[in-house]
Amino acid sequence: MATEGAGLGAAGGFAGQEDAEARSRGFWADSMSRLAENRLVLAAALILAVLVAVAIFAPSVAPYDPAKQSLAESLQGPGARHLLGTDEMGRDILSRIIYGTRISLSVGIVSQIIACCVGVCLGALAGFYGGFTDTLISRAIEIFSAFPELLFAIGIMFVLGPGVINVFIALGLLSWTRYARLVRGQVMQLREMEYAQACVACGGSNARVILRHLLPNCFSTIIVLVTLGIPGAILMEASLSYIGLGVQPPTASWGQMISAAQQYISFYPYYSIAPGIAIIVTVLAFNIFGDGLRDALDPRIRE
Amino acid sequence: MDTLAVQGVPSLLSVRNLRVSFNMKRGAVRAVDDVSFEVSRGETLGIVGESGCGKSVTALSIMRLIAEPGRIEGGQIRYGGVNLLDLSMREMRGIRGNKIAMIFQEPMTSLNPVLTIGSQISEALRLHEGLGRREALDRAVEMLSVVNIPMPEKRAREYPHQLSGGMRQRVMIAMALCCKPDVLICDEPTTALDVTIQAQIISLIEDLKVRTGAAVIMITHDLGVISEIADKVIVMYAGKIIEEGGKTDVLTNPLHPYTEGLLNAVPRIDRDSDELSVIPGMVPNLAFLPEGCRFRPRCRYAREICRSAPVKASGFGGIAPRGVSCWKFQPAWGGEADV
Repeated sequence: MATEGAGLGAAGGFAGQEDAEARSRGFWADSMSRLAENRLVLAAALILAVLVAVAIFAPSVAPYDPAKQSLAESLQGPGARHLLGTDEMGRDILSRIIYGTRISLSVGIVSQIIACCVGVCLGALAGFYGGFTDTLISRAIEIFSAFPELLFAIGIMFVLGPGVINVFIALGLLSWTRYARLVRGQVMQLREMEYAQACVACGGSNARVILRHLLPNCFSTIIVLVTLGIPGAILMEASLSYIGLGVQPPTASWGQMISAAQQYISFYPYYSIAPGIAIIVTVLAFNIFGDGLRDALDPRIRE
Repeated sequence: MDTLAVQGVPSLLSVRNLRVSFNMKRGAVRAVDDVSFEVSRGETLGIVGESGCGKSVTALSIMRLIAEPGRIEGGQIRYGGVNLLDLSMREMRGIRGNKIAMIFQEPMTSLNPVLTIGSQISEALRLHEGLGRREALDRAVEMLSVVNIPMPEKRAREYPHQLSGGMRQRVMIAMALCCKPDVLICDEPTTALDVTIQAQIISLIEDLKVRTGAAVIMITHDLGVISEIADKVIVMYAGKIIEEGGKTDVLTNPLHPYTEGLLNAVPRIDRDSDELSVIPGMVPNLAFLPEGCRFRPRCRYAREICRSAPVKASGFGGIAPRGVSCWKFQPAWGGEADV
């Protein structure tokens, strides 16, 4: 025994200080440093940080009250007084976009958190217990994912009625199946690992095995799925608001702004271009960041 | 060697007539058939056999870890005056890891990659002894030094991928022993390790057994491990115990033709031979067992009488109770002609 200990001690001593540091760094520190090496991902992260800041501090960032009407100034082009112009009610478009960030980001994040909670719980149950539980949950997943997405969202919004909270719920119900499917597969594979068995052999309950040993191992995949799910939810909210089933006026939402801008598109394009660009930039930033995160967390490309 | 002394005293753990079967599409397959043995405090029992002979299933049954489609059909597993098979799942959880602990074969996958070594060792302590995070972690560090891991404080904060295979198996031993169990079940603890590390792990287990007075059940297919550590040995074949006895008796004077074959199959460094001795044929499929003696199709002594189930013969002297399930040791053998 002493020989092995001594041998290892010596090997540790020979390894450079830098190497020893890299070795003792945790999984997250390691992944984050790999994430930071990718410039594009870093830029996306920066944009997301700015968006979050804008959403939080909207009242101090926005030059005007987004609901303040001034019919005399309606449909003005971009200028010194209104950087991105005004809409048909004379409201400042820039301010409305800034306030719209709140809706878009919260819809994206909250709906994915709801979907994640539902999906992870059901997926873990199905994967761990198998048998009848699995059959039941798997059929539910199949039924839920058989509907065309937009149609399904429209259906739920019809039942629940419009409003921000209902958009959260509808989009959460729309995307839980992706989480459930993924976690089910992973848990199914992980529960056969010896450490899961070892936990049971140590006297751990099923709940303990799932919560402490299996789900933490799915965490990196779940976080990637959340990041990649957010842009989809933002687009879906825009679509719902566009057809008038999402966020209701006078609350500013990008989708709803585009919807209102539609009738002025031929002679006053600024109105629809600005919120359109906001959606594109946000979705793109989330997608790039999610892809980068997936690469950084993927254990197969770790050296 | 104190086996004689404890005869008459109730043993620590006794398995009686254990039968375990797996429900397959084509009907139930009995993986463990009428297995009985006992271990006393401070004693090491070796269970040997080829892959699929039921030795791991026996071990898992003691912990009641047989998962669907497996099922313990009958028998008793007596520990501390109770039959473990009668306990509720909740009571069983209080036994697992606390009174009876287990070390698994594969140290590379037996540790959770996302948790630190320290938190994994403390898990059992927090479960069974109700220790807080801090206290449990201190005890975990202590256990790491007990299993001779250098720099235990530093190692406790590390993750499994930062440790070598031998170190991980030491961590597994620390995990298994942290609640001072009465019985330690080792399921091929050295199979995945290289030879020098194997010897270290075996002597560590032996050392800790002497210190804690635990009973050890060592499951292996490696007769070298048995000769190092066991006091008595059980040889299993196709779900049945075919021979049992004291280590030296079984290893130097095997009675059953299968044990004899196993011992002959061990390559010997002091004998100059180009060919390895093998037992002809294969382990029978448990769904299609031959009638009578299960070893008959591969046995070079087989006779007509072997077509009926062999009766256990006991006696033969020796330190531990000796038994063998073979017709060769029955009076009926003499008059029979070879098949």
